Amino acid sequence: MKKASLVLFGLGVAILSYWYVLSEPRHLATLTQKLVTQDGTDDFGDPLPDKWVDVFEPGLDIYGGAAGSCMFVGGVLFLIARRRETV
Amino acid sequence: MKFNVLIFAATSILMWLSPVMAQPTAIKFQGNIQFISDAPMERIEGTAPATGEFNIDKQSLASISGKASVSVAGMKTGNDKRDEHLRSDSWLDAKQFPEITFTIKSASPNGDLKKNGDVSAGTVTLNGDLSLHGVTKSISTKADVKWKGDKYKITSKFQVKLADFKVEGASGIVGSKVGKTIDISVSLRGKGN
Repeated sequence: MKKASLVLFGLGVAILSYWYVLSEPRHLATLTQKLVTQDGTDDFGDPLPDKWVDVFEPGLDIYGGAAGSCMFVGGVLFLIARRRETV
Repeated sequence: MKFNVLIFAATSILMWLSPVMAQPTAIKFQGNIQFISDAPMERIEGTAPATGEFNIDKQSLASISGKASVSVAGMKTGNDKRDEHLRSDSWLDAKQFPEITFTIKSASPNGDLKKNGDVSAGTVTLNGDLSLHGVTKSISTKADVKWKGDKYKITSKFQVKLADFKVEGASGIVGSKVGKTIDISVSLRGKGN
């Protein structure tokens, strides 16, 4: 159980690290829509305006929730394991 | 003699009509604004629908006048929860201040009109009152005015400091998650004579 708790705790840290280091762009809030540049020009010769497209780019709200859950469960398992040792 | 009198009469009538013929055209515009908040922790991009009604004299952009409005309730940033916060009373307070408006007080052309194919364009500096979150401030911004046949387009870019309009949000957020200065791009299109 102690091993499981350490794995879960490590997983939580790994999830947070992934968000901070590797997820690009790094969002605080999860994006469900995003502005994208369109190719082409309008009838005045200007670039077309950016348009909204549906996306799913998880932010810290999701990564943090997942990491926090892992660490919480890991912490609980660790406490249970310690209690069993002392009993 | 009669012919000369006719020419004189016709010229007089045309001279009398010319101020009437050069009247600015009242045109309704629609479009949107795009805003960018660049803070250390996050970059937020969003849009909001905008409308306007401007009087434009193609012969003299210095006489441009009118007003543009942006719907606060229509603002979106790609995250529904964040959009709700943006409209809440701790931010832009859409219930109490449903619109952001810009009213032109004066305009001064920057350079001559240019023609590129069938598109005519001119740049003007617009001086006007920007009303946001219940606060009105005078601002100046450069705007490009283009027309092609009966189609018009007005674009402009400027910055807004949130603190100038008493937009503070929750403590500590402005400056970290939301930029202190917001970059705004306006694009409006209309149709008229």
